[in-house]
Amino acid sequence: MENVIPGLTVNTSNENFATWAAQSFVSDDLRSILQEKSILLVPEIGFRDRDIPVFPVGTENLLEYFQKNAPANYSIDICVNEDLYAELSLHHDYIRLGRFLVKEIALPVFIGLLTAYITENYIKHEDSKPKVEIIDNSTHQTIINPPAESKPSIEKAPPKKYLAPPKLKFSVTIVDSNGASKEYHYDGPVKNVKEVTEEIKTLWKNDKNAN
Amino acid sequence: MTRTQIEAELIQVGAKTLDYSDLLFKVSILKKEAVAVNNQIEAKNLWIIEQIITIHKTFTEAFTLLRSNLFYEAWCALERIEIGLGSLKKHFSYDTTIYKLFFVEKAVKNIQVIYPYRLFGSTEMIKKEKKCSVCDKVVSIRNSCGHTVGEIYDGEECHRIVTQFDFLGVALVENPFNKFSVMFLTNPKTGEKTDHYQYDTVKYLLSVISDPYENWDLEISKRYASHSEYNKVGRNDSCPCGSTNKYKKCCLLKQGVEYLHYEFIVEHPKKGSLFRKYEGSDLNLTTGQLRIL
Repeated sequence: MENVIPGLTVNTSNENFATWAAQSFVSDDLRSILQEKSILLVPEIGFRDRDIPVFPVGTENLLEYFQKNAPANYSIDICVNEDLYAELSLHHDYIRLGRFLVKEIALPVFIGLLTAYITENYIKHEDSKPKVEIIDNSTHQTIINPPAESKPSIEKAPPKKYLAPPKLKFSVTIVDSNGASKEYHYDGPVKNVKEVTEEIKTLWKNDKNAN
Repeated sequence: MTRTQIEAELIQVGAKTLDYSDLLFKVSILKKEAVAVNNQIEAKNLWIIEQIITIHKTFTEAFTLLRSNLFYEAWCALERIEIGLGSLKKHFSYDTTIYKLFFVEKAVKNIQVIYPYRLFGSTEMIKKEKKCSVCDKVVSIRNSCGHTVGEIYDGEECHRIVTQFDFLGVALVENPFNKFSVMFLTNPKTGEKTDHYQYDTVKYLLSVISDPYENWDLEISKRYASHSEYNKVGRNDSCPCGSTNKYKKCCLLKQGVEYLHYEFIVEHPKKGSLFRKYEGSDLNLTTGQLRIL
C-alpha cells in the first residue's frame, strides 16, 4: 500500500470487469452487458457482516449525472440486479461516492465526470456558505513568554466538527486491456478532488510505464 | 396579490414585521393557479418565494424559542433553516444583501458555533425500496421515473420516500448529517429526558440582541492560557485543551494551553469582555469574512 498524498492510498487489486460481472447478484442476462461497459458502479459487500451488495445514498443521482454527461461512446452502468439494489445510509456527514470500476481507456472521461459532479454538487455549495474562521493572535495577557511573531495569523478551522466542510470518500479500480488492475482509495477534504484525480492519473501512467 | 407584490413585501424583511403566514397563504393560492395551467416556470418561481418566506418565518420562530429557553427546539429550527437554504440554493443564487438570506445563513452558523452540542446519534440503515414523491412510483435504478431529486415539479421539491428499510443501529458521531439527533441524558428515576447542557454563551448573546435582524457577528480567536494554571495536570495526562493528545505532546510544546475565545460584535454592547461595538465599516459584510485584528 502506497500513501502518496494525504488521504490517497494505492492498493493492489485482482478485480476487473469479469470478476464483478460473475458476482451472484448479477443475473446471466446482465453479465455480458456489464463487461462491455466503460465504467461500472460497484457495491460494497459485507457491511456489518451482511452479505448483500449496498451502494451509498446519492448513487441514483450520481449514475444519472454520469449517464447524462458522458460522451456517446462511453457507457456507464451499475453492477447489480435491479431488484437487489439497496442503499446504505450512515447519516454521518461524509460524502460517500462508493466504488468505481473503470477501463483504462475511459479514465480521462471518468475523472472529468467525477470532478465535475463533485464541484457542482458539493464544492460550489460549500463555497457559498459563510465561513467560520479562528484568529490566532497569541496575545493572551497571561502569557509569560510571548511568541516572537506578533502578527496574527488566520486559521480556517471551525471549532466544532459539524461546522467543518465535509470529507469525501471514494475508490476507483482501474483495469487495463489485459484485465490487470489497481485500486485507488481517497478519504479526505472534498476541495482536493482535482489534485487527487490528477494524481491518480499520474500514478496509473507511471505504473504502466514501469511495467 | 401577485408574485411581484409579494416579492416587494419580502424585500423589506428585517426592516418591518411581516405576516409570514399570510404571505405563505397567498403564495400557495398563486402556486395552485400556476399548476392548474401547467405553468411550471411560474410554479417554480413561487416555490422559491415560498422557501424564502418559510426560512424567515422559521428564523423569527427560532429566536422566540431561544428567548423562551427552548434551546433544543431552537436548534432544530436552525437546522430546518439550513436545510431550506440548501434546497433553495440549487434554484436561486443570492448575494449578501438580497432578502437578507446571507444574513440569516451567517446568523444560523454563528449560533450553531456557540451551542454546546458536540455528540450526536447517527442512524445506520439499509434502504431497500424508495418511492418518488412526485409520481409515487417505486424508484428503479436503471429506469428512471423522470423526476430528479431536488428539482421542482408542480411547485414542489422532488424527494424520495423510503418505504422499506433495515435498521442497523446508531453510532455516536461529532459531525452528523442530521443535527437534530443531539444526545441527552435520561433521568434514571423518571425516564424523562434531561437537558444537561450549559447555554450560557447563547444566553449572553440574547441578552444584547433585541431583534433577530439586528446586526451582529461573532469573532473567534485562539488564545493561550498560562501553563501555570494547569500545574496539577501531569505531562502524560490528556491535554487540557481537549485534543485527546498527551499534554507533553500537545500544548506543553506551545506557549500555553489553547482555548477559543468568543467575542460578539453587536450594535448595543454591554460592559464585559465578550462584547464589542458593531460599526458598519468594521466588518466586511460583502464577503461575509470576519475582520482581521
